[in-house]
Amino acid sequence: MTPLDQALGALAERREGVLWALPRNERELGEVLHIFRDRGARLNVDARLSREHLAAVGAVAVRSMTVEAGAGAVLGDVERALAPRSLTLGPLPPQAWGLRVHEALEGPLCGLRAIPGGRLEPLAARVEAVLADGRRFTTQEGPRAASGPDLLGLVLGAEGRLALLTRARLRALRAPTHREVAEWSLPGDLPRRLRQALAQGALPASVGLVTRAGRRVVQAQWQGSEGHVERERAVLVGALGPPEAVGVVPARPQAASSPWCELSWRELEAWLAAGHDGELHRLSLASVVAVGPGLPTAVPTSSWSLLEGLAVAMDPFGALGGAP
Amino acid sequence: MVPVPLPAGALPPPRAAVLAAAPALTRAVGGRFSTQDVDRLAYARDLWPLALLWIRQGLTPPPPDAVAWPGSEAEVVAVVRAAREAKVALIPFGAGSGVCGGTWAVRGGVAVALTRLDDLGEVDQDALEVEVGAGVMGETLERVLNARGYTLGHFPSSIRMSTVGGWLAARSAGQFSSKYGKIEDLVVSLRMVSGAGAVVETPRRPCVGPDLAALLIGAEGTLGLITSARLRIFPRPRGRAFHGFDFASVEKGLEAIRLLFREGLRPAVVRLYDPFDTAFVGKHGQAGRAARPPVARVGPERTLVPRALQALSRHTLGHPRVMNQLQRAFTRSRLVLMFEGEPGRAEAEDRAATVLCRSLDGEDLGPAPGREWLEKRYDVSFRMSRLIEAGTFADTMEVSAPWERVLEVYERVHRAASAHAFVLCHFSHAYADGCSLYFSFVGSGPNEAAMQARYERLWLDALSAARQAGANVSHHHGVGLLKARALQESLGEGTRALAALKGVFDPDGLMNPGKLLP
Repeated sequence: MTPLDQALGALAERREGVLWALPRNERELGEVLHIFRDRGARLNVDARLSREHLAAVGAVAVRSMTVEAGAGAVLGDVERALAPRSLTLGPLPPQAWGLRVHEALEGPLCGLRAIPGGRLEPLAARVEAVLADGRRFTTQEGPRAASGPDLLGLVLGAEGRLALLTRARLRALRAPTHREVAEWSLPGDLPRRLRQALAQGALPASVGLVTRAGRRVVQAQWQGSEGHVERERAVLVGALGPPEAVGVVPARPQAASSPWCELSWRELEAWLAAGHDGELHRLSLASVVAVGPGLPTAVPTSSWSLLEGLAVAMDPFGALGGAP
Repeated sequence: MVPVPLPAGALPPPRAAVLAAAPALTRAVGGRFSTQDVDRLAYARDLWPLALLWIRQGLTPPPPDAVAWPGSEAEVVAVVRAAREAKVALIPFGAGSGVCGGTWAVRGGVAVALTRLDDLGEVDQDALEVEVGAGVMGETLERVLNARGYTLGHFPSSIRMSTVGGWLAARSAGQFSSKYGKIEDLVVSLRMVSGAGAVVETPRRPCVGPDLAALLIGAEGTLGLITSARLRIFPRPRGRAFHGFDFASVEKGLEAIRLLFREGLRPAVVRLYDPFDTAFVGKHGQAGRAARPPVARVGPERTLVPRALQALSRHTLGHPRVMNQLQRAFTRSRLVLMFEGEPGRAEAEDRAATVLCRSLDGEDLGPAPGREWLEKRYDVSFRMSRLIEAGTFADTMEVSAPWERVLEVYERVHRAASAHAFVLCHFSHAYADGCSLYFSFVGSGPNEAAMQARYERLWLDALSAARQAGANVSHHHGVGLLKARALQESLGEGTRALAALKGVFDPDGLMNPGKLLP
């Protein structure tokens, strides 16, 4: 037993040789961080943190279509809590459903969802988080705010290195009653056409790229109310042309374990040109999430080089692990 | 914060540190630097109504010690470095149309006027983006984009007198935000000269790590000076569909909006006026007579009419509880909608909205209310001068709340503010999970000092009521001085995060001191 094991005591356990801190609530999380600071220990170096006990899914707020969920709740479980209210977290990349809330928000998906107009919106309307010194803060109320820098930025995509998410109010959508799938021969300028559709307000749930008998096809799926599906169809047809088939059986979706990557539209063009099959999710004018083989392996730009100083300022003892 | 009496012909002299730094600052901006009173006075305030109340009492907000007009990002860097050397505060200044005192030089320093950073890049038609200098005026940007077949989709009511940099500093919203988003949704990347003198460029997606732009936008000049931004643009819509509906109550109207968004509809404009606003102020289609400026007036219009209006104001708006009670005679609430996009889509969305609104017993008024709103949407800003002439104060408070709380916020703010001013409200900037409430307050008093006291009490009570009912501090006007205390209270320990940001980007604490953090 290391000194850190002893100091954490009942707050931690070893799993397959790795020391895991397992706080059961925000107060214990604060204690864990205090011990880390005291011992000069660092998360993800000297021990890992599990928020599996912070997994409560709260009441669904039907009017605002939101739900409170602890950081350790699995998105699939949140989705099941929403279903009786005819709500859904929405079309998300397949990888997302097995993630815990903190993984979805703090990890590479950055807790973002595509919304009409080609935009990305945080899945979380509000978060509660713990700073490195154990103090808690909550981001501003209301759907949007103009009250200084958006402190949600300390959580989304930050890998828990600036603050640790403990709870989030997640945004949901009305569960779709209708779905449609249509298929086109893959046009050479698919990215341009998709961007056109997004700019006009369409939002496919996903786009599949399939090679069938030597022929490449693109399948788009969209969903919503009956009227919404009709309106979406009109925009997609306007952008992609009349489909060759409607109501086709969608191609088998990519497994949740398939490699995935957020691509710029330029990178998507290159990936398509290489002839890879796969899927596109979370389509926005900024980027798409591509799932499938042959994705680029180069590390994208990182904001950490500009935020190293912030990580130090917020966590001088390095308990949260520091900037990567 | 103490108002400074304005002696005839002079302001308090500039601080010694600024005078000592004047040669270096002058060199930094190629000579465009001034310590003249006339320039300092011009940059002493924004459009916060408190300043008008002070001016009517012969007072002015504390002026900056000097003004600098950099013409490039390099000059901005030079200004910051010279200011750091001399330990002189810097206050970024766009067009000065903020309404919260965000540009007031409460601790002196140099106002850095950024309107000369007005480069407008070529439109990238493939990526649908454009590079814009922070000093570009909103209307200019939109006009240039329109000429090329595009739009930014960002139409704050201050568009004729606000800059892109100011929008980013305050996290502004335009009237079409329900479709195009707020300004932060339109940013691909931005450049800022930090208070440490470094040029920071936020990475665009895809990107690993936290969203740096989210941490810089809305900082109101406390972290650095935004110099340019790359913004997302949209093809200019080819179709628009307008509609208006009258509902029996505010609740019904709000329910209509909520259900529209739940259905997946995204009107560019959605505005629900509360009953008094619907009955009188929101009367569209009535062409107003343009106000004649005071110097052009003759006879009774020059003297008797203003005095009569002032007396009337004091006897009516000076007793706002009575006026607010009279509002209860009105119940109907008007909803104005506008959809835009490809012609077929806009019409299809309008048809879907019509079915929904009628199902809630909305009286269908056809397209006229929507068209008329669009025609006159900027006029309200120019009616303020008449109110001010009539011896009143007028201000607006915008907050947002989730749908569960919207009605309670409306009622509690109305109750709290009614003791101090006549209260109107409209609901707009809607989302699937809530909307913004935009309150207008008009009040009066026996004299200017009494009006100021009433104004301050109004804000304390109204903003407190909004927060207690579950709203935030601001949806799109920003914080400035007006809401700083409320922000600090609402953030709680979150202020430590703001302080950490400040420590990183402005280690010497020179950037717009006294704002956001105490």
